[in-house]
Amino acid sequence: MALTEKCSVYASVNEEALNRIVAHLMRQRPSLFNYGTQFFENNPGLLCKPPVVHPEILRRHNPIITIEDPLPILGTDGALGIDFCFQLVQLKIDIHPGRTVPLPPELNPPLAEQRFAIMVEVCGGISCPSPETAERDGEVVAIQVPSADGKRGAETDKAKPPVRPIQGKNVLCFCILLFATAGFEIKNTTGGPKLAIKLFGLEIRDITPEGLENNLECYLATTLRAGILPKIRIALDTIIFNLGDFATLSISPTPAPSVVAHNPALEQDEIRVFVDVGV
Amino acid sequence: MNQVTVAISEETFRRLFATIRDHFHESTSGHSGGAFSFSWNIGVRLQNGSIDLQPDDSVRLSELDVVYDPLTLELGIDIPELCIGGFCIIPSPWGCILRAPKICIFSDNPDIRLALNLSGLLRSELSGAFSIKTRYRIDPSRTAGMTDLDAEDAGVPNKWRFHLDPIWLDIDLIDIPDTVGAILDAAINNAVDNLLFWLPGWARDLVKAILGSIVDLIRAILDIGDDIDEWLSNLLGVSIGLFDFVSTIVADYFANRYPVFEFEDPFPILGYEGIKIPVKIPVRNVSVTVNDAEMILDSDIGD
Repeated sequence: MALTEKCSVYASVNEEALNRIVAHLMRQRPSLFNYGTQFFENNPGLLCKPPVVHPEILRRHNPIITIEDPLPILGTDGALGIDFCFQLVQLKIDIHPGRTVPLPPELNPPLAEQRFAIMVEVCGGISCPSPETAERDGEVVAIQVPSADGKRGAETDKAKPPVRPIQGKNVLCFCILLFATAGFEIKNTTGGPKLAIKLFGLEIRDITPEGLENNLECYLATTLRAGILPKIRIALDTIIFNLGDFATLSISPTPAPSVVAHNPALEQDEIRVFVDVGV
Repeated sequence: MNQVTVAISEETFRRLFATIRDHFHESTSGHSGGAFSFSWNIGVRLQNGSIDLQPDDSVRLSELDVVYDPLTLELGIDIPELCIGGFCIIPSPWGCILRAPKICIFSDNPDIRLALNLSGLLRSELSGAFSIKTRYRIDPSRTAGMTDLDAEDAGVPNKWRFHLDPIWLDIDLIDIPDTVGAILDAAINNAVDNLLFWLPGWARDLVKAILGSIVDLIRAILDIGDDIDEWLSNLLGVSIGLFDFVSTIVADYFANRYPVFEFEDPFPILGYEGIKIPVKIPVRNVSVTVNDAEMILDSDIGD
């Protein structure tokens, strides 16, 4: 049977290629995978796992991490915070039928049809201040007693200042393995149809108590769904070739399930995309 | 096993071919000297035809019409000089006392210029078979110090390109309409009238009567004979080399200048985002195969 029996253009990428693409993505867009405060942007060597980046990242002064505000310290009314970093370090994709990513029982192995499994090492850490520094900065904040309207002294008519990180003594790092199941879907956007990742399940291995694990999993899943995955959608027309100077191609996904069973399809260790092309 | 596969259906291939064909337009002009000189200005465009993918890894092009528009020829004929009169009316021992006036015609070179406008009247038919060649193009404007990203910024990225490479190509001049003979005869008559414009009408008729059928004479000089199709085909194909020109430019058009497909290497999957550089993926081991249903491109992702 012809690959294009039901479409104009067929494209497939196997999981080996997909993992290489992810590796390129991590090297060339490191800020999608590394987060932290300005302290870590200034001191990338202190990240839990210093990222390996493409030479152009350094040459073009691209950010290595996405800068976030410090973690607020409770009781300081947002005046003080702690520097932190959060990294997705190694990422591996395993398309149905799953063979290379050992899914934990919570994700109901074996991997369901039309799904792929993700195994990613997540590392994080905070720049922990010494007890003396924490006490000193706490004293400074404490004397700025909030007024009756909840505002502090001279700042009553000013905008709230940014969170000031307490200077850390050393960075305390941890790394955990995170497993997820996901699928691909085609989203119609103003920029045309785009290939997007849809997260189905997420599990952290060996965290106790269970409530802490559940909270962490919720936070990480929300971070992926709301923060990271929307930024790595790939326009479908990037897989279509140019026709020199004079042809305009209109791209649309082949309808599923009316024409093809799944689009994109995740099967036999490949992602397969079916596209209709108008010239 | 290849890591990435892209297949393009035959129907899509046909539509892409039609787009390339409809944008084709080439032209040529030239001049050839001698007793029988000619100059030409010829434009070429393409119509009709079909393209089919073959099970033997080739692409078959059938009955593609090559339309010559514009097609203007100017033929120059140098006729041997012909003089009337000049003979001696009153001879004497010391020479001729009175001579008849001498009139010479066909003294220029060329004497007769025939302007033939055959725009849109002639067409050729082109057929051929092609294989698909994969070429890796490094833009000549790319300097040695450029990175891949510099090259993309400068609009000179490396590219994988896929061209139709001719296995064989055949061109036939077809469909010379009868009107071409009448156009030629009218052009000859006009040229003679222009040549003798300074004579009164009765004198032009006299000259034509003396020379016999001027049209037949010029046809004989041009070696047209009875078969104008053969003559015109020979003129265009052999003397001007038009068919070689067409074969070459059509082959060049598809084979070198305009790839059927092309894509950048490294291949961008995410574009610039502010100052953040695009994410580009190196593509390696690219190969193309053809069967009667589709063209299949296989490749790997580089490290």
